[in-house]
Amino acid sequence: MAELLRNAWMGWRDYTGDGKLAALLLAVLVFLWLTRRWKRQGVLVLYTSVAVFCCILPFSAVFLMLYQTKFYDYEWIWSIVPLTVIIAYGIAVFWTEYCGEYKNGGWRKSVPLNIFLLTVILLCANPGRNLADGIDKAEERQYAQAVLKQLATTLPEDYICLWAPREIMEYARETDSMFRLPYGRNMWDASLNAYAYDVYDEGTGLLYQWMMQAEAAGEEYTEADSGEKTITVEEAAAYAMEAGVNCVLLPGNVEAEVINRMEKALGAEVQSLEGYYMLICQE
Amino acid sequence: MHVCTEWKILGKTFGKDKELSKNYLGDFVILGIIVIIGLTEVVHLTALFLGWSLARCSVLWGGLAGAAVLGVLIVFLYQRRKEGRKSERSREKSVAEGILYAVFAILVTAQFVFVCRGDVTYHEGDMTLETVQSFLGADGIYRVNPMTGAPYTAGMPFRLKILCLPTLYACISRITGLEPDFVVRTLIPMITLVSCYVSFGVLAGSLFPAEDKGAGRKRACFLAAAALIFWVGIYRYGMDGFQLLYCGWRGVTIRNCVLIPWLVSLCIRKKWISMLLCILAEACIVWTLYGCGWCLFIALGMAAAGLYCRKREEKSLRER
Repeated sequence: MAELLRNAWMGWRDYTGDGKLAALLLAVLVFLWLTRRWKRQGVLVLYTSVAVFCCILPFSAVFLMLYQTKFYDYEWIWSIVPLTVIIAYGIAVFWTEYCGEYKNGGWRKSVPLNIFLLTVILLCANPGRNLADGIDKAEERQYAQAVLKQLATTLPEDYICLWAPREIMEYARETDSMFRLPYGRNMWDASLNAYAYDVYDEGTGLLYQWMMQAEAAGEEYTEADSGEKTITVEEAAAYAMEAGVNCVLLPGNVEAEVINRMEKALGAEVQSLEGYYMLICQE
Repeated sequence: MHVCTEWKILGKTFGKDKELSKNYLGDFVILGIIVIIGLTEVVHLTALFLGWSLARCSVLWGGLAGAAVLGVLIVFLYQRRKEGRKSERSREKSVAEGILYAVFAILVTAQFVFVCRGDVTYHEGDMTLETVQSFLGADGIYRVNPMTGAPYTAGMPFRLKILCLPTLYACISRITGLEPDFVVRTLIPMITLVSCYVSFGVLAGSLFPAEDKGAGRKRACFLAAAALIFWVGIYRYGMDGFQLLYCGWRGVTIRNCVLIPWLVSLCIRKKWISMLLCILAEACIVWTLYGCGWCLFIALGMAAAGLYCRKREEKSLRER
């Protein structure tokens, strides 16, 4: 219970941390209550006010979080608050009452109020943050898809069991269902584990860690700091073959010695593919 | 895009005035979407329990969805013919209203272009596209784990298994021949965006009925403000704007941006039977507590608030 309460409290802090639409919602509700401009939509305003109160108060928020199933995080309890609806309603009421009159010199009051209203709305945003992240992801996805399509044309098999760096594995299954993977996106995106009861064995976890280390080869990495168990190249190759892997992609910054050892362990010949080392295991 | 041309009612209403009982064109659009979701659920469950192939599912779904859309269209045309058009379109529009609709159109067009590009999406915590690809690849429903492509070893939660959106997208992809990536990341978010504004259009008509003074201006301002709030809300995962513009294919987005605004308008108009459809649609597309999702919660909350307001009004009338 204490943890749920903590999650509810931290959730509220996170929810109001980035942008300020929640603050605008509270301001709109205060405006509607104080000016009593909501007579016709009293039911909606009353319901929204109670719902907002329930989402902010940790005890009621915990109840709502339990009700919505644990699959969803705190922010989803705000679905019960018609946030966009009530803010837009408040703005429409405010605008028609105070800023919508332009005739007979009314514009002197309306124009500054319109500018004020627009400024307040825009100040609630956090422009560009997620947009920039999204564009970066799009480029990463396009590059991965290009590599995967080339891989699909290079290999004649109907089914490819691919073990590759995370940035390739992440998009493999959504690009083409012919790619089978020893582990999926749920290895690093824990929220996806809710979709299935399946779990990975220790060997698969070690494969993932080994590839993460290979990707970080250019950066400083110490075993002691990470606390993760490390395996040798040969052990990694054995785990991969056990998992049915028949195609391995290694990052371009992996040392030549590692490539040689992997070639020997898999009995494959290395080829270059779009900045990666590709090893195809023959039966 | 004003969807508030009124026609008469669909669904029963109890004890309310004539204005509230009006039905909008948008009501039929949202109803059509809910009917398609319901039919997809039927097809999905049939395929799941009988082990049908996706090809067979697609044929059945195509037939049912086509018939349903035709049915809704016939009902709509029948209502329109029976009741005739109201004269709201011919009322005089102010300059301010025109400007507000222009602002609304610009904002929505920009959002449409943003979604049409389809390359700026958010897929963390979501595996819809992998699921659709695995349905198409394996020619069946949940035959392999979408994350790895290998058969399930321990299975998946039943409550998730019965959600029908991946089947809907796979059927669309199979029937039209469109790439699943395009269907999930572009086509469906575009439909969700349009449906969202249809829903908000209906809500605008419910919040500001035609007999209100300056209703047209208020509706226009409401829609323009909603479009602006959607842009503003892209800053955070879970906000309506973010969901609508970055992940329009998800069940939670359809619920929050299409079903809930329509549900609120139904609550205002006291159309209790149509609300039931919203609650059922949510249960088919979002993981809820045995079907008791937020739509039910909101409907009950609004009903309780309405009851409280009515009691209070009666009390104040008696005191007078």
